Amino acid sequence: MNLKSTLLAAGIALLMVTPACAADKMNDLEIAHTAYTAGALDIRYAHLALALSDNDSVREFAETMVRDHGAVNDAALALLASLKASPQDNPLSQALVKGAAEKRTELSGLRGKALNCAYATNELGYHQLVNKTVEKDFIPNVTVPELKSLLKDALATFKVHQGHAEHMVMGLKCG
Amino acid sequence: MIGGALWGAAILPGLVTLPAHATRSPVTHRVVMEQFAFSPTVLHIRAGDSVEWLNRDLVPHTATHSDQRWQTEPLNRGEQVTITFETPGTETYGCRFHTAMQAQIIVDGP
Ligand SMILES: [Cu+2]
Repeated sequence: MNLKSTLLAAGIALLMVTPACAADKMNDLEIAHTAYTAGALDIRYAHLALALSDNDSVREFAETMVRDHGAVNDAALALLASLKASPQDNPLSQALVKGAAEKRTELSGLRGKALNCAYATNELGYHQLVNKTVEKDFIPNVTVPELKSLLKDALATFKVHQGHAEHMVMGLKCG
Repeated sequence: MIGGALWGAAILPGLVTLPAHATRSPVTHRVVMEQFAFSPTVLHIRAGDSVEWLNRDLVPHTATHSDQRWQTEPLNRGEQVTITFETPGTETYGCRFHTAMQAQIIVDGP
C-alpha cells in the first residue's frame, strides 16, 4: 500500500497539525481555490495515467476524472466570475500542489502494473482525503450559499469517484 | 411530462382497459439524470413513445444500452435528448461514464 504517499503526507499532516486553522480560518475564496486546485491536480494525474497506462479500467477512470473534474471546475469558474470573485491561494492549496508534483514524479518512473496500482491507490487515497476535507471543513465553513451548493454537488461527484476508485483498485488486484 | 394515459392507468386501475383499437398518440416521457441516478429507474412506455433524458448533474452522463444497441451523446448539465422506441421489449441501459447508474425502459405493445 502506498497510501502514505507524499501527497497524502503533505495534505493530512497539514490538516492534522493545524486542525483548527487549516480549514476553520480559510475564507470562501481560499476554500474555492483549494477545491479548484484539488480538481485540477486530479486532472493532471489523469493525463499522466492516460499517457503511460494501457490498462482499460485505468484509462476509463482517468478519462472520467478529466471529464468530471473539468465540468466541476468549469462550473466553479463560472460561479466565481458571476460573483466577481477571484480564488485565493493558501497553504493548503500549496501543500496539495507540492505533494502532487512529487507524486507525479514517482508515477512517471513506473510502468505496467506498478504504475496502474500506484495511480489507482493514489486516486483512492486522494479522493478520500479531498472528500473528507470538503465534507467536514469546506461545506460547513463556506458562507456564500451558491458556493456551498456547488461544493455539495462537487462532493456528490467526488464520492462517486471514490467508489469507482475502490472498484478499480480491487479489479487491479494490487494486493 | 408523463403521459396522461399512464397516470390514468396508475390511479384508476379499473379504467385501463382501452378499446382494442383506441388510437393513442405517442407520448414523450422524461427521465432525469440527477445525483448520479436515472429517475425513474424503471419506466413503462408503449411502442412508438419517446423518452427524453435531461441531465441535471454537474458532470456529463449518457444513456447507453447494455449491449450498445443505442446510446445518447454525452449530455452536459441542462442538455436533453430524445429517443423513440418502436419495438416492444425491455431496454436495459446505464451511463457509459458512471457504471453504477443503471435503469430500464419497458416497452409494451402499442
Ligand atoms: Cu454518468
